[in-house]
Amino acid sequence: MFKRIIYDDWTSFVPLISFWFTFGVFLIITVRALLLKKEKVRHLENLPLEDEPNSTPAIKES
Amino acid sequence: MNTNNTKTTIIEYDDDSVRKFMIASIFWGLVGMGAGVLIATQLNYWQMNGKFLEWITFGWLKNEGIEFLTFGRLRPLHTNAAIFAFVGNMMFAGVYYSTQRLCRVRMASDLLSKINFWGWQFIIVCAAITLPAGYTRGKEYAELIWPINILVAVIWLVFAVNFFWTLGKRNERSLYVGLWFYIATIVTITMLYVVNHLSIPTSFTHSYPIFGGVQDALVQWWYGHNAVAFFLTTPMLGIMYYFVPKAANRPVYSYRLSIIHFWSLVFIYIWAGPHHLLNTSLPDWLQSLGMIFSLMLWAPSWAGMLNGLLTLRGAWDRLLTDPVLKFFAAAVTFYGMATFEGPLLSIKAVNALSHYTDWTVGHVHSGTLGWNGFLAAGMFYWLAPRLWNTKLHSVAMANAHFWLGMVGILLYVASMWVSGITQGLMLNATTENGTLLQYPNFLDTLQAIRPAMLFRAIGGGFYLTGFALMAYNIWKTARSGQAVNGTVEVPQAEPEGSPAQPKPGFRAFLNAPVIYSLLLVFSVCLTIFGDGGLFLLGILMTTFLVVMTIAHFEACKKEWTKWYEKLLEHGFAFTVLTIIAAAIGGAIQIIPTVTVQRADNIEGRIQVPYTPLELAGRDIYVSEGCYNCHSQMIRTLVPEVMRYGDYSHLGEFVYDFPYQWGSKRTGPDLQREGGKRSDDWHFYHMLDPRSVSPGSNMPNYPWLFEKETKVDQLPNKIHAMRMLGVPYPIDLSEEDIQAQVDEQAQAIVAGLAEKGAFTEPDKEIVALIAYLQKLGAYREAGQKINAAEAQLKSELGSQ
Repeated sequence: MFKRIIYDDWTSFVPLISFWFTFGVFLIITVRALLLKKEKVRHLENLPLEDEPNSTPAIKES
Repeated sequence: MNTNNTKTTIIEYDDDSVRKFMIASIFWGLVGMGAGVLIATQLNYWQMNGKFLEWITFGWLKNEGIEFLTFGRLRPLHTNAAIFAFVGNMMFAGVYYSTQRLCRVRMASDLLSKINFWGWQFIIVCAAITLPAGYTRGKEYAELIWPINILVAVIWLVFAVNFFWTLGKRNERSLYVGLWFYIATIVTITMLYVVNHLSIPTSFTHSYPIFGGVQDALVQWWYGHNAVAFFLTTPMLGIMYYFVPKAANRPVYSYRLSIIHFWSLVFIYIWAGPHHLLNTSLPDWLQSLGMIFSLMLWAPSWAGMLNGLLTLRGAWDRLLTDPVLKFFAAAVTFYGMATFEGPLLSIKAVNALSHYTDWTVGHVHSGTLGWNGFLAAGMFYWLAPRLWNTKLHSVAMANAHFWLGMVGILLYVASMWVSGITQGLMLNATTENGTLLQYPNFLDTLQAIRPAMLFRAIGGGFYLTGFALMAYNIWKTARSGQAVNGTVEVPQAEPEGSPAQPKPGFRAFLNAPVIYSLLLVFSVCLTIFGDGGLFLLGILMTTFLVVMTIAHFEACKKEWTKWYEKLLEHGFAFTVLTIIAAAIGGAIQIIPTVTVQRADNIEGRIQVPYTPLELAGRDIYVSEGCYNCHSQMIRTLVPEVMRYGDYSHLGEFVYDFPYQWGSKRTGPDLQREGGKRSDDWHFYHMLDPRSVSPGSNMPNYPWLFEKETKVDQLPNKIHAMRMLGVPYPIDLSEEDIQAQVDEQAQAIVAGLAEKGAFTEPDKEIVALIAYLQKLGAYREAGQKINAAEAQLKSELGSQ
């Protein structure tokens, strides 16, 4: 009997807890993303474009 | 050039590994897609399972079917080649190229890079040999046998060490979002792969998974769904966030959006696995979780899709001339389509129609061919001229590839929609008053979708032709240039502790926000799970921590807001948080299921364990890949119950290692097949399916009538089964097993002979018939495990 009470209740509230937990994570990340400094964003978003600023391809030695 | 006085050094990237992975990806792509086209034709023409070789060799290779070429054995080869060989190598190429450049450092170890490359190719070759030979674990995308599993884990670890070592040596402090996706890929795939491949070996080529029945189904689709998420999606997103801005020559549309995209995707994706098991006997709360989280997944997926697509803003005109952008734009669009279709198919009511049909197959291919395949093509066309310091051999040929591929995908996906919806509707259709099935013969629904299946093969052929053009184009490009390695000028290494050196990661991890969060989780757990004093302590601790957190935040706002910025620069802390985000969903779903859904907790029906001969027959069923076309799961839907019999109960699979619920019904469900037809029907059906089921597309299995059942392996297998909780008597000796096998086999053979069907007791067909006739056997769980054991003992004793 004890086993049934525990597990039956567990199944009804887990989806709700999971949903609100996820929503909380989403909210925190969104706030953090929006509060990120502009200079930092500019630096980060340009990383792929600045990765080889002075490069000249070296011929591969065979 | 460096204009200030800082001393600099030139770093040469390891682009040799990138070239090798790229070439390997193209080669294995051709193999995997070739296998795909072959098995697509097998669905329409059973002769493509080997008989066609007799025709094209003008009778020299006489056969009624070749075991190495059947759909059941080649389909795993196709999926594994597409996922792990084609996309896997492409992923390594993209990761090796972009990581070095985003970190401004050469890969940490050339030796590890070489081991990663050659080890991965060795694994693929092993897979290409073992899968057609019938060595399989019988779980989708996890078919490889246990020695290869260990090899995969070792090589993946080599890749992880090389990657994180490179991060540790980086000359750029900040971690770009592309690297986040790579980190998520590495840690999550490690977790998924290890858990889903936990097995007990019974020989060098065979093992049983430690999970069975519903547990195995849940773990399998936690893995299977997230293999799509973290092998076919997150690394591709990392590649998208690096290569699309490069190709468009403009930064990503919104970096802030990419942060939300990453965390929400990593957090949500892992929960959605149960949507592969909707309306089955999986507990309802898990099905609800799977459906809800799949719907929520739509938002982060489209955030990424829009972010990728809008990165091309202002560069749309170049789409007309630049094949790279053309492929990228189409790939991201297909990502958007597939991630809209996925949540749609996860709605229980839609899934009732779509599941087990070609609709799901079409969905998967729009993701793999459209999203992964086109992203790979765009990346290869962008990389090849740079890796060989030349121009692309033919832009026109690349454009032709694009259109061949596009027409191929559209033909494929559209025909699978038509096929899936048609067959789904026909299978569920009832007569006007709803008491009878409108199409009681499964084969009627198969005949209706044959034209669609033909178009699927044609579409696949188009796509493969386009891909072959790319292989030729890249080959010619490489031949016209010379292999070069990129270089970059970076400041020389500063002494330890200087600003240019990243600080140890744990400092970013051990800070007030994180510590308060962990303590709060702990105190809430005490409240939920504790009783008496622990419960009271949890309440007090939670209240105290909430007050302290608010007070601390008010007092040190600046410090609190810095932690996330710090996180962006510390690979270790970032990795730990990613593991937590990815692990939570799986833990909440799997731990209760594994602890609760055991044989001794089952109420209602419980499966009757297999006799030794039936167990051997089941292993033949698994080895032949029957699960690729037949399900063993009657869903809780009225038309299914009308067609196949009473819906499947959870306890009816408790001794199934591995579970065999399947994911596609090219043939009918077999859950209640036991006793439905006579032994001689199965005999003739396996010899020539069309002799008893006119119009069937099932291959012939003549080798089952020649090969002998491996009875000598049964003692080890039964020992493993006993370890897994199957109630085989402890005193069952090898001689007993042999005697039971002989007795049951001879009874079947005698019965067959009476009907004019002759074979010998030691042939595989006999064991398979024994298994098929046992399907669906259950009893009501009275004294549960003891009753099952007693029953099995009495069965064994009576034979």
